[in-house]
Amino acid sequence: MKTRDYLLPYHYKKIGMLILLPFALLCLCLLFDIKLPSVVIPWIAIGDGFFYSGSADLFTELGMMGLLVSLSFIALSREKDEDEMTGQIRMQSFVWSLWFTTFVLAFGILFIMGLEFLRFSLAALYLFYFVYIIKFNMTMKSIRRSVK
Amino acid sequence: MKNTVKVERAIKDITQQDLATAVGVSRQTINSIEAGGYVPSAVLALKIARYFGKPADAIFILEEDD
Repeated sequence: MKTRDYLLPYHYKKIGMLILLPFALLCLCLLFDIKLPSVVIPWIAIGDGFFYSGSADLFTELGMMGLLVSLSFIALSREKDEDEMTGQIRMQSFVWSLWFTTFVLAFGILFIMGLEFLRFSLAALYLFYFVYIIKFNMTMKSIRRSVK
Repeated sequence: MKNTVKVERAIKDITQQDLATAVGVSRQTINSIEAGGYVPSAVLALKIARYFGKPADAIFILEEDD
């Protein structure tokens, strides 16, 4: 009986890695208040009242969405040699990353205040993805190295 | 859990890659099983046993602390 793993095909990992750098740089500019051209676009979102019909900054929306998509592609795509052991390593990496993110968030909640907490929250949105990708790929690399 | 996969592989004179391809996993997985670093699922253990033509409990042996 084959179980679904809900992973994207392998080539999505390469697409994710390709588009990661430009969107990561864009988000770093937003995080550290580096001036970017302001391009305002009409936007509908959930905000004041319920539906908010107003405007949004193109670079903010593009940067954050692009970073989310690229990290998701990298994290959620199959390995070339995906099998049951890879699945177990994936699960262990998820749990490890969740623990790590939990401790970092707890630290932030307790010791980071004011506007800096907003900056921290922005970065924390993506922390789990980064930690999981690093942990999983480091584990796979050490296993592949031990086989050679 | 102990296993005799490496011994069986030597008897049959096949590489880790050959066994991996035959049972549908990666070479890393076979290497980890032989090194005792990974315990295969029931399905994989049965596939390996069937490939070597032996019962699963002749190749995969439970230890006292399992």
